[in-house]
Amino acid sequence: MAGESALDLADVGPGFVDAVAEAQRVFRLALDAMAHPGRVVVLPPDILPVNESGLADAAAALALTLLDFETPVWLDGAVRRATGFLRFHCGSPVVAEPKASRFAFAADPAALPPITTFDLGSDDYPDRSTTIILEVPELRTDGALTLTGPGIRDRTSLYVGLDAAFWRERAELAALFPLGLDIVLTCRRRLAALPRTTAVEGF
Amino acid sequence: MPDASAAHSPDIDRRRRWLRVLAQAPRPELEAAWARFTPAPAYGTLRQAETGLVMVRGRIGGGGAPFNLGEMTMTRCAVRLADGSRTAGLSFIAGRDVRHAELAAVFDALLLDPERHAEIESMVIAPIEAGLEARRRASAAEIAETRVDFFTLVREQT
Repeated sequence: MAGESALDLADVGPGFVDAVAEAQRVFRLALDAMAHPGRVVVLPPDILPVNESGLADAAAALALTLLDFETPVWLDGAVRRATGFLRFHCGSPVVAEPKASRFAFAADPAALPPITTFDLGSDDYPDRSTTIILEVPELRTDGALTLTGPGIRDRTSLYVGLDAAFWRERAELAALFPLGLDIVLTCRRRLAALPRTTAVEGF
Repeated sequence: MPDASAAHSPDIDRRRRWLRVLAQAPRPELEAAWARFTPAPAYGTLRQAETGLVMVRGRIGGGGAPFNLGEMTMTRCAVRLADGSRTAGLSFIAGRDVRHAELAAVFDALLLDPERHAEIESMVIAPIEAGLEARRRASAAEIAETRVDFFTLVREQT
């Protein structure tokens, strides 16, 4: 592609060993997490045992599973090193504008741009929004955050380690529904999903 | 897209040559060459050998415009040497032979390693290239035997 430099494969780590079977298993995990917001699912140890991608294990597995040449990716400074990995294994273009991305990977929550700078979808296609995959310091189900919404029986709790400003910003998006952002929180080999329909309280 | 006819660096031309030889080499010859390395160089797979289709395009029309000739089966692989150099090697071969693609990628990585290049070049690439060339010549000679030269006698004026 024009303007792109040659890839240096010395810095690109290995991908899935059995691409089809492992992508299917990770997809099933992601589906389970999306269908049950707040549920913490764990990447099995045999998937991506060696990860030199620059992304955390769960985030790298999601990238290998969900991304392709049609999903522009935005990376924050902490995961910029994954550019070569995503270009080689997923064929995804890496873009500088959060608004132009289908997926955004971030590992430095403090430096995350205002989440409204990502693509919230359009009225015609609210599903064509950016999905943010955010590496967080903690991810446990015993926290003070209370989650309610579709996919959750009564309520569920979560501890994430993000400050209140993030949750306030996210809560403000609820008024824009069906536009909005779906967020996947990853913490090393664990992940939990927060679709736009999930209401979070107690931050 | 850069102009495909632009001059490549000599490095790219050299690599293109050995990648062509590795891709066209009969797999038994690659296996035999690999078996001669003891201990076998350690490597890890970056992208497992996988088979897919590529669209072959050619400028076969009179106007020189690209034309989709058809799809062909292709197998590609990417490996990385497990030594300190972490040199990566690639292969793209016609067909579905995943082992062939993997061996070709490993040899590509070894050839990119300046310390081993000369050894691999003389032990693997040169003999296989000579074999390919000999087979090409033999086949050309075989075909040449049945060549028919058409000519027309000038008709006698009566």
